[in-house]
Amino acid sequence: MQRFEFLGRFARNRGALIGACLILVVALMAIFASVFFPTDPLRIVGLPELWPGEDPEFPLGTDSLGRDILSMIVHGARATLLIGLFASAVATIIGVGVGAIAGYFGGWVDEVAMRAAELFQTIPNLIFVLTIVVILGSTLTNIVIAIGIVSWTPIARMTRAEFLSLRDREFVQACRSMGMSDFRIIVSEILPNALPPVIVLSSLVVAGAILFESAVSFLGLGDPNVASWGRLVGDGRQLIRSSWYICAIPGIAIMITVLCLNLVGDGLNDALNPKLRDR
Amino acid sequence: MAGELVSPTPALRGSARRTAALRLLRRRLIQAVPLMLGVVVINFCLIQMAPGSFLELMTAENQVSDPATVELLRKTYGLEDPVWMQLLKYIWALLHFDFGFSYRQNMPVIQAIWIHLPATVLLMVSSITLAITIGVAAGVVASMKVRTFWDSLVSIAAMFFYAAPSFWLGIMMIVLFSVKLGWLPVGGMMKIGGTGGVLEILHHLILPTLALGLFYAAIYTRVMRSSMLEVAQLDFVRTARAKGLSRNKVTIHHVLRNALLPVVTILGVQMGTVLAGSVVIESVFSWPGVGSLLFDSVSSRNYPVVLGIMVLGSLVVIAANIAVDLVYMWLDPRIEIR
Amino acid sequence: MTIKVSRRVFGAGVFAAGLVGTSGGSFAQGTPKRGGTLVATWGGGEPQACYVPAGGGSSPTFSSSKLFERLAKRNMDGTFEGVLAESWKPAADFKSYTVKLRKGVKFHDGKDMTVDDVVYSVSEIWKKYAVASALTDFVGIESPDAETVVFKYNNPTPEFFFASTLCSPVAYIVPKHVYAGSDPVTNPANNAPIATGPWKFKEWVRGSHFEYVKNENYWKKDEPYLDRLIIRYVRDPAGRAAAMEAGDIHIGVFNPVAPPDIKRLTGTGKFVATPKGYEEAVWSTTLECNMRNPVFAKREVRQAMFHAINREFIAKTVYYGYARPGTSPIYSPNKEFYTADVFKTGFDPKKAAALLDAAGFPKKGDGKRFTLNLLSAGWFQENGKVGAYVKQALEDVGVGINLTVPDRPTSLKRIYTDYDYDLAISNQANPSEPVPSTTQYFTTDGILKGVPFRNASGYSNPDVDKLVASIKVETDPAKRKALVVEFQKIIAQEAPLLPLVELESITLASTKVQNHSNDPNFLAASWGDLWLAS
Repeated sequence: MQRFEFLGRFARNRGALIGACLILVVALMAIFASVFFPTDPLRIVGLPELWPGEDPEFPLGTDSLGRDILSMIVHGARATLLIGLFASAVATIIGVGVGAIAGYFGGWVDEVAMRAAELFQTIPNLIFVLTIVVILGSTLTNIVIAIGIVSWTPIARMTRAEFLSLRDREFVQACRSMGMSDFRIIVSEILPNALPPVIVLSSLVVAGAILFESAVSFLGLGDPNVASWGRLVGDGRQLIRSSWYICAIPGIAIMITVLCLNLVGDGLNDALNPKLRDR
Repeated sequence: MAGELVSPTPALRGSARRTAALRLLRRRLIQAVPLMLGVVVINFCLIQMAPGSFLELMTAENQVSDPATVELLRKTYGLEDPVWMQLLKYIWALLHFDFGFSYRQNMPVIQAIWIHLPATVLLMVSSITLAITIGVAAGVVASMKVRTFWDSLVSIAAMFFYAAPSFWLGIMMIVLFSVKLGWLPVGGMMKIGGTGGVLEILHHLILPTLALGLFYAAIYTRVMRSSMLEVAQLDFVRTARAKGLSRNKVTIHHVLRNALLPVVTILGVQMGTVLAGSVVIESVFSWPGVGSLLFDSVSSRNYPVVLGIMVLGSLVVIAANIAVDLVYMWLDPRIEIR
Repeated sequence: MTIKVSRRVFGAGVFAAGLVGTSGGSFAQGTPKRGGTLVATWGGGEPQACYVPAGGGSSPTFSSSKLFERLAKRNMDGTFEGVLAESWKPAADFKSYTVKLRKGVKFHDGKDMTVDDVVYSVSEIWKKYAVASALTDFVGIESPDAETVVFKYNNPTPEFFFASTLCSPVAYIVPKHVYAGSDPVTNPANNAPIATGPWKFKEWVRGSHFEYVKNENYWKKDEPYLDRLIIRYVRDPAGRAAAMEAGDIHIGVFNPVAPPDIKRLTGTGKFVATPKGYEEAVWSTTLECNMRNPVFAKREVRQAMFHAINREFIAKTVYYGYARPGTSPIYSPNKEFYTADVFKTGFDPKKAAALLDAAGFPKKGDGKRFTLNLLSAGWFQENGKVGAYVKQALEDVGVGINLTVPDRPTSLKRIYTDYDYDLAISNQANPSEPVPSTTQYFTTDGILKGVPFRNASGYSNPDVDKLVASIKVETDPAKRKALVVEFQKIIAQEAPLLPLVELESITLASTKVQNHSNDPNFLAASWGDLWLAS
């Protein structure tokens, strides 16, 4: 019953609904990219710097080498979403882990965990990501790890707050008196109740991860074998006088994706906290 | 990163407030030390993991082939010590405000950063000012005209600027205002061969500020709007209205002051991201600040400079957070921050 | 892949149509006007120091060459001319050269340039840092009298080689009284040099510009014509284009702006673009095979790599026509030694596939014969694009490619220290004299782990080693040329490292600037004879 109520509240938020639909479109693009555009998107297929509409074969034009921009956008959706999801997963795993332990055990464990969180929040995040990527190399894996490392702190704090409020509840005390191990209590009793706000936060972390990755690729530190949207914007920088569409189009793609994720995140948030909804 | 809020005590006044503020300051400064140590250790470990070292780049630039000369260079640049000794030496030097020597710029690191600092500070200050001004104004307007056309307009604009990547926004603005319209310069902080006057710099400052600041303006707009709406429903506001005070007076004196609190909180958290964001914007606009220096140093494995920037950046974040906590306490006398 | 005609090709077409500027190649009209300030820039970044004794790349060469001078220079017509030297003569056995020095040269601080400064510069700076690899046979320098020095070599040394050494970009004469007793690399004078050239150092505003003023006591009585020379550094090509358009910068060397901007600016009639002035520093983009990978043991496999690549496409698309396909390890502007009569590894994918099949590498089930790691050195943005194209071209003949484009330090390390690549895309800038700049990529003694821009491919051929050794000591110019021609023929067929394209570097200047691009290495010239028309 609770679940249907939740979905119902979500659906009533028009913005969130639009956002969810568009994200679905992007996801479908990512999944079926190879079906719609079977050629390698990084292949040079036409004359360079064709404007959108100049050649019907390339509806969104070509870049400075002669690659099909539409193909790169569609395939780029895959890289973008994957990075966002995996980076968010890394951040969630670290954040939930640290936050759960800190919130449950308290004491010096909590202190240490919170100091660590403070530490990672002090170092300016993009600078940290850039350094990690430059040092470890520009591969997708490293970028995902780097973004995950700078994004886990808000999740840890939220998890910790949830655990703090939940650990002294009656059902937990009951489990303790039954002799359940701490690990089982954390994982099977408290965690499922603590998760919903965390999931909302994770969805916003996905949006943040996409923005990070695009910034890193824009600066030229991305994986050259991947047609990432950020890299397309970076490639087009030298040509803004004549062919500014090379920068414009992938940027719009990024913006729409991040926007939709934010709408969905907001919708989830509102659906979870109906009393704050009425604004 | 504001401190934990202790449950509201009866309002502190005058000297009690000052003592509380000083207490906070002292506590925070003590807390900052292990934090800074952690920052330095992390950064140092990271740089050590780099595949290409500074020495290799130096010898490459100097076309040195004689192994004896390479060893001499290694000694000269202090790269002969084992890693842990390098770290200890570095920490010791830091305590004496010696950030090392940058061989690429041929000057002490602190001087290299100092030269680039004003440009970045200028950019950050103007961006944050813009963000707060627009954010608070738009948020207030939206909250006062809630659920009307204006509210929707503001909300949609906020969504747009929150989602748009700042570097892309910057490039699009360059295309529109510099390339197509020719109103604003393409990049740099001043005209090549110009006088460097205030007007000239301001002219160059407009686009980077917009590119960096609009993102945060969007955030503050949303926060301000919801904060205003929340506070407007609180008891003491209703009391003021009931007493017959005009709506506007109530808004400004009571609601605004309290609604600013979340904005102030976020400001503290955001300091790190604004600094990070300036790296990208400085790249887009060729703005000669610390961000450009950082990018150049990361690319050339110039770790004294990278470490220096990260350490100083973290210091800035810590300082900003302490300032934010103090402002918070000033705004709401009921709150004491531990 | 067929080449479609693209409207973007600016290079070859533009120059052929004579849009470059005046014919006859000289950018001077009338008598020089005195006075004025010239503002210059270039396509790279600010140097780490104004003067780097070991060279340090094109950036410090650009900044220091206006202040320092060399013993000789090369003219556009190929002849050599003395600068700080008046003349030089070889001994009969060519094992020593007597150089007569110019009289009446003063340093910027007023002290006279003496024979001691020359001896110091050659033995301490040249031998140890600046031209160390050209002086491997150099034994010592003596000064029999106050106006003469004698260079002594172990072996017979060809005259062209000796003269080229005297003209080397950073073979400067430095003041002994400033550098003696110090470590030249860290001497603070490197940031505010004292030298003999037409320009005196005035100021370095870091991140912005160098300011040089006229040397009133310059030994060439008429020069310099201008009062001030300012070298500005602008991070971004669009910014340089804007500054040139606004008239704030008069001249930019070494591709200061992007090709579309070159076309736009020359189209206004207020600017000229010329590829002249780079004949002694011809850049190329090269592809090399790491011989340590057994796949490259057979030279047919290496040739196949080059046959698969369409160099025309690279020249037209990546370089907008400001490049031409390369065939020989010695480049076409080199009038002394270049020959076109070498084995051609032109674009022929069918031949590439056939060669690979014959070498025992048929296409396997997944369509790949074998997989290689392609490293494209990240110091030029174009290298990344070339890498992307080469990846595609090789995959089209069944060679799987993993492409990485690391940044400068990582590229240097992986190519020249770790040898961690199978194919590498890199760059060279070579003068006319093939020894040692060109030959050190192909000889066994050029294999120096950790030293960049040497033999990283590991190619070792005793015939080539012997040939290069004889090129070093052959003093008869005709015989020497024949030996170098043979060298090119061998290398072109062996294909361990070959140029993909020779690059055309461009100087862009306002029509007001006179007497520019009149030196075969204009970037490294002293610019004493430039002037500004009104």
